[in-house]
Amino acid sequence: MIQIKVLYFAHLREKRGRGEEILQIQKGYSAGNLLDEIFKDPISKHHLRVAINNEYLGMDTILSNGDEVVFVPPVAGG
Amino acid sequence: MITQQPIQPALLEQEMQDSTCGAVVAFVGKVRNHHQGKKVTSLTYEAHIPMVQKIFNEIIMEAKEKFGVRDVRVVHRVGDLNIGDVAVWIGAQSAHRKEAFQACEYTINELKSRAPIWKKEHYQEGEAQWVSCHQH
Repeated sequence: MIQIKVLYFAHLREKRGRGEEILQIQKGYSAGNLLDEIFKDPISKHHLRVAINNEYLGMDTILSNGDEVVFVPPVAGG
Repeated sequence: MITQQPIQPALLEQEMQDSTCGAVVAFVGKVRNHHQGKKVTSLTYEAHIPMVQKIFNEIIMEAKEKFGVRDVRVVHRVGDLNIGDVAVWIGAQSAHRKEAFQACEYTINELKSRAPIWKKEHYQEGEAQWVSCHQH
C-alpha cells in the first residue's frame, strides 16, 4: 500500500464534503483508477483533468507514495 | 499572484516603471452582472494557490520569451466578489506597444485555460453554479 493526499475543489469539494484527505491505496493504481474509486457517479468526472504534485499529467499516470493528487474541474479564472 | 484583497489597477500600473519601456498594456477583468441570460448578483472564486502560482510563473516566462517584453505581472483575486469588482489584472511592459499587447493577450488566454481557478456564480433567481469555461 502507498499513501497519497487528494485535494478537492469547486463542485468536487462540495460533492466529497471535504477539501482534502489522506488515502491508502494499492501500489500500481493510476490517477484514473483512484478517480473511479472515489467518484462512482460518471457526471462528476466530466471534463476533469488531473494534476499530480502541481503538474498536469495523464489519467493513466501511476501514483507514487507521497503524491498530492488534484482532480481539476473545468477552470474558469479571469 | 493570488490575493483576497480588492485589486487596485491604478496602484499596480504605477509599479510598471521601467525607463527602457515606452508601452504599458493592462487587461482588467471585472465581474459582470449577467451570464448566458441569467442575472448574476455576485461571484465566488476558488483557487489551488500553490499550483496557480507555479502556472502564473510559467505563463509569464513564456510570454517574455515569445514576445520579448520586459515584464509581465498577473494578479488574480479569490473569495467573494461583487458586480464591478476587479477579478484579474494583467500588466505587460515593453519598449514598443505591439509586444506588450501580444504578451497581455497571451497571458490572459493561457490563464483562462490552464490556471486551476474556479468560479461560482450566484444568481438573482435559482441555485448558484460552478461555471465551466468550455461552456462559453
